[in-house]
Amino acid sequence: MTTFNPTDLRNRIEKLGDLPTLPHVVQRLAAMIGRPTVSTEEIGSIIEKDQVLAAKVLRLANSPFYGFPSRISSVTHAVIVLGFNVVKGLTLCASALSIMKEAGMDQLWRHSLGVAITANLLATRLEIKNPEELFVSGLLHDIGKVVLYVKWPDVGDSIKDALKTRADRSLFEVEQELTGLSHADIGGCLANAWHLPVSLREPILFHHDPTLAKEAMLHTAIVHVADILVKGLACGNPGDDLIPPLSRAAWDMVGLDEPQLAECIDKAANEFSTIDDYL
Amino acid sequence: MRRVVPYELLPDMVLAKPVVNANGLPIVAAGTILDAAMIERLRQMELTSVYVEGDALDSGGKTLAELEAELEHRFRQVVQDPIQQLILRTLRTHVRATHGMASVTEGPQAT
Repeated sequence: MTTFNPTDLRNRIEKLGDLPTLPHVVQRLAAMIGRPTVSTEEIGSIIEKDQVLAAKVLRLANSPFYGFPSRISSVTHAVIVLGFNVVKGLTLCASALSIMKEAGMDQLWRHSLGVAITANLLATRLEIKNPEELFVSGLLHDIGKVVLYVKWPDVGDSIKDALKTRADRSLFEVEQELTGLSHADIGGCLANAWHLPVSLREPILFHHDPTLAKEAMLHTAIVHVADILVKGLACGNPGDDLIPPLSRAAWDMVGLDEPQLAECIDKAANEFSTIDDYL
Repeated sequence: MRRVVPYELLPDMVLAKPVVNANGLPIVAAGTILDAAMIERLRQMELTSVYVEGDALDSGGKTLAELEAELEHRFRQVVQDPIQQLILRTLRTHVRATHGMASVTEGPQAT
């Protein structure tokens, strides 16, 4: 069994050439999360410069998920009706999608979309200020896997080989065993490199151990719980089928009782079936 | 509810959402039971997809028993956690409901 040195891998992460790069326009938008002074026109004009992104924003704005009665034909109009934060999230989503689809990780994309929808539902129920941020964190929570399994096939293949012989070990555990790092650590490094705010970075970095979060505790707890529910629902495939251990502290923060849990699962499965094609 | 492309439509499927035209006006109502003529019309409309009643997630042609066995298998490492038991139970109810079974209440096994 090949093992890897975590220091070497961290050095590899730091070589930016190895990272899936976020398009420039998305980096600019991501940096604006938390800056409430940006105007609708400013955002609209940034997105309009990227035709692919503009098309995706308009497509989602016109999807049955939002169900607006009349056609939304300009990005600025989309920003007005969907809200600035949703559009910021959408642009990040569009990028995460193209990164995962280019990497041939459609099943990971489906899993991530499921977690995004579920995290957004939980956040809305908890009346969190920007629930769409949770959608984005859900979508990006496994982004480290793209690096681990696509950009570094030597490392990824060793992990997959080791996983085959150990049916009762999770991908996360085998990654840590072989490399001293996990996809969550690598995702955290990516989030740093992309200058994502802490509300997105901590859920990515700590979604397997939400008690380590220092600032975005509730965000991290939500993504942790959503990940488990979606693995249970088996929408998409994140690389292994084992349900990871649940943090009791995170579960208590999310605060679902039995009927609320059932409602959340039904809603998530339903939304998943309607939104899948629109991103 | 699930989304299918028009060529996957079969007679007796039930529309879960209305089919709308390019202006967003409904032209076939939700709840409509499809017959061959209606399916042919929908296919000619160049729709990207249609929503029909049924399993929300793609069950890949698996039976309910297979889906339930897979569900149990995914929880094999965490079944001792009472919260995970609650999640498993709720997911099982969901799987049964989306497979057309009325919700099944869990109780002691009949002997």
